[in-house]
Amino acid sequence: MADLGFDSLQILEFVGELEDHFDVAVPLNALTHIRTVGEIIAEVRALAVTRGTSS
Amino acid sequence: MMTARTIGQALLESARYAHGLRFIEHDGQTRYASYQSVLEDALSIGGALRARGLNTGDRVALIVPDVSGFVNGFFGIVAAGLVPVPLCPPAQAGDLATFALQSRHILSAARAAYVVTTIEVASLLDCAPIFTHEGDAAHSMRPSATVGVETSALSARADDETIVATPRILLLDELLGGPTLVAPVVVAPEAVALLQYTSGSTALPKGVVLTHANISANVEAILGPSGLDARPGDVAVSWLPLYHDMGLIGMLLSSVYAGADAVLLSPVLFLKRPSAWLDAIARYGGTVSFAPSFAYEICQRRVKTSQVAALDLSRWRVAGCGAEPIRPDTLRQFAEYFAPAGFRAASFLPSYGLAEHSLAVSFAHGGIDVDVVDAEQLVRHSRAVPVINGSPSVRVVRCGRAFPGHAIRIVDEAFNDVPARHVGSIIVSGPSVMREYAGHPAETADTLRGEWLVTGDLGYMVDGSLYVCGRTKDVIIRQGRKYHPPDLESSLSGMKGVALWGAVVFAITHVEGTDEVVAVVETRGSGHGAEIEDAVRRRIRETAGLELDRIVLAPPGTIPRTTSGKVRRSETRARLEAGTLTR
Repeated sequence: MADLGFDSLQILEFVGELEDHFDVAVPLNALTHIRTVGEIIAEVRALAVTRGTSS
Repeated sequence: MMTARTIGQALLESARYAHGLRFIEHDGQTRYASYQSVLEDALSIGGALRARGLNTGDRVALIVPDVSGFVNGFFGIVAAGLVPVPLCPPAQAGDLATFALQSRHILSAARAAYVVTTIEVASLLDCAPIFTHEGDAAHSMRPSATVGVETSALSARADDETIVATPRILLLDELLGGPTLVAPVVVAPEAVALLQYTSGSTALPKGVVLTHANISANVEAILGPSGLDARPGDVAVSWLPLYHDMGLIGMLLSSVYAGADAVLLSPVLFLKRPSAWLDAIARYGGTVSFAPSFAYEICQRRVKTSQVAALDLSRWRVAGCGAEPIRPDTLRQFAEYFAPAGFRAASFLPSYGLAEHSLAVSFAHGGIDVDVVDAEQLVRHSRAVPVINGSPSVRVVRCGRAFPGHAIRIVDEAFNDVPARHVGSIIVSGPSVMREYAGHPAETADTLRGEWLVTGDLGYMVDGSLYVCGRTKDVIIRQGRKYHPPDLESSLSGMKGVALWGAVVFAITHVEGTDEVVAVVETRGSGHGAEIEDAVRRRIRETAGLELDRIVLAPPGTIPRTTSGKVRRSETRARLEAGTLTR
């Protein structure tokens, strides 16, 4: 993530937009570990799938 | 002047009012706690801390990411008569390596024997034994059975480092079980109340030591008629980090001392969704909220026009602005953009302050008042002369007058007062001035001159009002974070393609008020210019989270140095601006 020129502000902006789009909330712990765009997407996808199956 | 109240007394008294704190976490979950229940939780946590053998005055680090947990932990530590040392949690530290490095430094420097935290954070904290230099030993913690003092290792070490202690982890959830205290432990107003580690991503921040009397004096000034002019029915709304002075003292403690309602949002929520801040102000009738300029800027950028009309910001009477240089254009644009929601530009309250002065030094009433001065006169002659006939100008925001019982002076290098509209060093005095920097007697002596605190900022006075226009120290401020050039420069020293101690980093403030962060780098070897630039940019981004605007590559010997070989940063900047750095 740092490679793309994102500072932590931009990372959080991006997470916020994905959360709104997929209607999920990324846990705070996950935010600590996320370092790449792929990791954010994987996290949001996993959350969206969980939400989809549980509702 | 009011008598000083300790934080514990203020908390006890707040429980008499039918008000409290509303917490909005990073995922939007909301919880309300009356001051009575905040007090009860604090007494349970405080009792549990005392039961574990902690004694009055012990320093306890606090690293809790959620807002409600932080507040519980903070008041629990205070109720037990202990000294909280708030730390930035990992999600906001930038990356895990920075978090671990910064936490270890602060735990060691603050001599915190205990860390109150969550299980998730505890797993990230590498609580290896903490080393400290022998020079600090005068303050070393007394030996305690609960602290892992390794005396054998201590005597075995030949260098100047001694193992002091391994801080013990205490999980916040486990502390809620008590046994509960009947009342907060009584401490003197002169006792140390808080160790505030100054904000920003400097690798090695210094701890500001504040007493209860300091905090009480500053909070009373903030709430008083020269401050917010607090009144019944006020509701504070804040997303500011609580490990930072502006969130902790300005928003949380001010509300507790006033017994007023406050809504505390997670900074992570604000950064993910800036509209959450304005939504909370609208929903809960927020009357007072503070933020740095950049927060107003991102709201204007990220809150959609369609959302603006749905907001009611008409009760927002104090929109405080501070913590970084105030950008009048940003604020004006915010006011225009949110006017349909009932926001008034007159609500803006420019402020000036610093952690070493507990928090606030001065507030300017009546909205943004800009002094437009001649750029050439300001830069070359340190004079703030109102501009005439369209020559290049600098816009400086009025930051108000000293609070009652406090004083502000503008002085030259010999500490003599300078006339009005002459730029000098801002020094301040009064009951809000910190006691010292923890464990840094030399820096304390540099900063505290008798009763006067040397702020490190430059400014001038007009009719008793302060105008802040730069820093004497070369601190770079971006988005409310402070970056210290020596940290940035040492991270570049000797990396591939860069000469040893061959880098200088500074900010250039342009006439239109924008800052440009520049690195001048002396190259070595046969590296490719673009590759070196790339590596330098990446290194600063990864180690400090700062984005460089410009990199100037130059042959060795370009950077001016002192006879002892230290880089001369302002001279480098002056030569670059004059076009004489590289030939």
